[in-house]
Amino acid sequence: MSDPVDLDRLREFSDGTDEGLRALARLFLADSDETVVELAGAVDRRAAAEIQFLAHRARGSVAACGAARLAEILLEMESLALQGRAADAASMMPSVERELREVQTFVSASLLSVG
Amino acid sequence: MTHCGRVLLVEDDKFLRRACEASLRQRGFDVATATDGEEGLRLAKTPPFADVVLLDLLMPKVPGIEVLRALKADPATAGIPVLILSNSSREGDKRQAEQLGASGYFVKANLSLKELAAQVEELVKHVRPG
Repeated sequence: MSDPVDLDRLREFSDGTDEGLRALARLFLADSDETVVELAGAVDRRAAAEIQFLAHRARGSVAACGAARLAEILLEMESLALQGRAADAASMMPSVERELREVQTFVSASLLSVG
Repeated sequence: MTHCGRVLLVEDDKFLRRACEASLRQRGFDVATATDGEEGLRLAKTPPFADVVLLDLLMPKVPGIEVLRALKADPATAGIPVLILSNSSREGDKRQAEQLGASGYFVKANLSLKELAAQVEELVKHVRPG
């Protein structure tokens, strides 16, 4: 299975320097839980419009960082919510949380490897 | 750091907002931020005006496309260049933004903070020649 984050994409997103990459990785680790916590709240309420909106928002930042698999899962969740299928969208929440952990672990390790 | 232009960043995603803000500040821009379209529109219409507006499309309260429409409809803000930040790579969305007067369109999945800053700098040069 491929890495949860395309490190080349993450570098391209940053300014290309190790310091830029480190700064971006730190921000991602600090902020990435927030939208997912909000998303989990919307999932608990089976609020389709809110799930759609929050999945869309989260997708933008994870795609920018090169977390393509997580972006795909969020896109599917967003599409299901857009169709009003809140329960189906909600059933994807464990996948979102699992993949986010993978992404965060990978980003943390990358942060160590660039010093 | 040299002051090289005023940027208004309207983005509801905290990580992207902070990443763009930090990158632009590091390059000497004065950056104001808004977390939804309503706040963005209010700040954009409040002097001193931004030299460049960076605008997300799907946002709470007022969608980015409506913010863009309102800015371009107001003679006081119509001349401010607006760069769109969007999840969508659909041609129709890009075309609509361009038709409404956006100066550029960045797809978040391909976003480069370096390129974004370079484009902001280029637009500021036109707004503040010399």
